[in-house]
Formats: sequence, structure tokens, C-alpha cells
Amino acid sequence: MDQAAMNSGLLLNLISYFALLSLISFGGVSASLPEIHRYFVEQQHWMGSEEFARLFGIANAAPGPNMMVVGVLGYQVAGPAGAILSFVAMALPSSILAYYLGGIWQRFRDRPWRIATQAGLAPLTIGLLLASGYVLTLTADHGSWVAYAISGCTVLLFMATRIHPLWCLGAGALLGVFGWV
Amino acid sequence: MNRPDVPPPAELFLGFAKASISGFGGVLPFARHMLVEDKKWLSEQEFTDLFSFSQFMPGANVVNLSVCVGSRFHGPLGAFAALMGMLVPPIIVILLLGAFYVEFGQTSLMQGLFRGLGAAAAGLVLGTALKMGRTLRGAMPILFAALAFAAIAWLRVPLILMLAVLAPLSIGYQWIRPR
Repeated sequence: MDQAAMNSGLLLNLISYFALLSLISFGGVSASLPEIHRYFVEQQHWMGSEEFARLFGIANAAPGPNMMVVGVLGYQVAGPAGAILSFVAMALPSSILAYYLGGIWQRFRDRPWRIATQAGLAPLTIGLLLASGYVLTLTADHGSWVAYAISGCTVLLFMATRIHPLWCLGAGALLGVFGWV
Repeated sequence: MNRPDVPPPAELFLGFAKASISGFGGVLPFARHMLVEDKKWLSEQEFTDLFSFSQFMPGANVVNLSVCVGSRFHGPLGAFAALMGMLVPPIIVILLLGAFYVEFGQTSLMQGLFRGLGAAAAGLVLGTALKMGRTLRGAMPILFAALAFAAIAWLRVPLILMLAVLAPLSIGYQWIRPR
């Protein structure tokens, strides 16, 4: 297989994966990170767990939605085209769904099936987000007790105070620059 | 309350474009500020209604929110304008970040920086999840949350498989549950 064909195969793979994920990512992109990790690291072997953790870190280094990580991962796998196509594939199907369902959802707001659907999905999205925090912490902090301490302090500060999350990210980045993480 | 006229699509694009790269670790607070306090396109209650729907739907919740707000004012054209505002600036940032990572990402300084950021960002996801977990009430919802956690975190089951099994059970439980 020549380079161009291989590359378009890769792009197609990214597009179809994220387009499907877009429609099942209840709880948002943050809650889907273990699934993305499973696919990128364990199934496709596009990168190691450590690189996945680093790219998750860099996606948090810039302002923007949580979704940024999808574009950053796509860039690493297939360059600028991979970044743009992954990002758009993750955004578009759910947007179209939201566009068409938005009106319907408001119209049926008091129907029992609508209430049961929303109430039934809520615990699953919480379990998903918890799994995401768990997997990300193990992946990002692997082998460094300082990293575990940063994650732990961040959890405590975030839950117990109203401190802006940027302070936690800044402190983590600073410790990292000094080579202590 | 004095409500301004319906914002034109170009305004929607610019408003969401600005909000989309205003925040680190999430756009939501900035989108809310823009919509409710700054531009006054939505009331507090309208924002809460649209956001709870956006959060419930699959996909990035702020992206869903932009689509709902845009379509409310200008149908498909408004939805498209707001969505583009939400997507275009982050794409530019991603391209810059990606090029930067390829060029400089391998230095030990940068590797350390990303590790530190990753550790803090992972803590933020965990903290958010625990905060949300405190709102769970009742034995069955807690059981379903625990099963979803175990399937993804420990058994490494594909997301679609987990949802195919647990979503009907959890929704079915809510359907038959005595109220």
C-alpha cells in the first residue's frame, strides 16, 4: 500500500470512529476519554499510554473546550488533516442530533418516557465520568508520587473550595517545568 | 427586562468564537457569562433549560449549547453560525499546539510541563465526577453508576457495549419505579 492510500485509510478510520463516538458520548468528551484511550492505545496501537497522557496534558495547556483533546490526538496520528477531521467528526453528528431533537425534547418535557430516559442516563454518565477520572489519573500519574500528589490536591481543592481550576493547572505545570513530576 | 433584538448570525458567530477560547479547562462559564450577563440573549431560566438539554445529549455540551442557541434565533443558519464560532478558533489553536508539540514536545522541559498539566487536569476530571456523584440518590442509581464505572475503568469494555446493556436497564428501572 502506498503512502497516500495508507494516509487516507487512517483519516477514514479517525472520521468513522469519532463520528460514531459523537453519537454515544453521553456525559461529554471528558467522560469518553477511557473509551478513546482504549481505542487509540489498546486497539489501534497508535501511541503508548504515556504519550496519550502527555497529549491530554497539552490539550489542557491551551484555552478552549474539553473537546480540544480530540483534535490534538488526531494531529498526532495523522497530522493537520487528522486534527481537523477528527475534531469536526466529533462535533458534527451530535450537533445535528441536538438541532433536530432540541424542539422535540421541549415539546415532550412532561412525558414519562422522556423523564425516565433522562433519569436513567444520569447515573451512567456519572459512572462514566468517574471512570474517566480514575483512568486518567492512573495514566497521567504513573510512576510518580508527585504527580499523584498534584492530582490529589487538585481533587481536594476543587471539591472543598471555590478556587479557579486554572490555579491547579498552573501549579502542576510549574512543578513539571522544574522537573519534579 | 429589556431584551435586545434578535442577534444577527454574524453576532452569534463572534460571540461564540470569543467564548470558545476564553477559558482554560472548559468553556461553559464563559458561554454562560456571554449569553446571560454580557449580551443578554437568554434569561437565566432559558439558559438553564437549554444547558440541561445540551448536557443530557451526547457530544460536547458547549457545542450542543451553541447549536441550540443559534437555532433558536435563526434556525439552521443561526445554528451553523454559532457552531462555526464554537469550532473554528479551537481548530486554529489545535493546529498551533500540534505543530508546537511535534517541534518542541520532546525536550525534557516540555515533557515535564505536560506531565504536570496532565496530573492536574486528571484531578479536575476526578473532582468534577465526585461532585456530580454526590447528587446520586437511591440504591439502584448508585448501583448503575458503579456498574458503568466498573465496566469502563476495570473491565475496559467498549463504551457502546456498556451503553447497550446498561442504558435499557437503567431507563427501564426509572420507568417502572414507583413514584
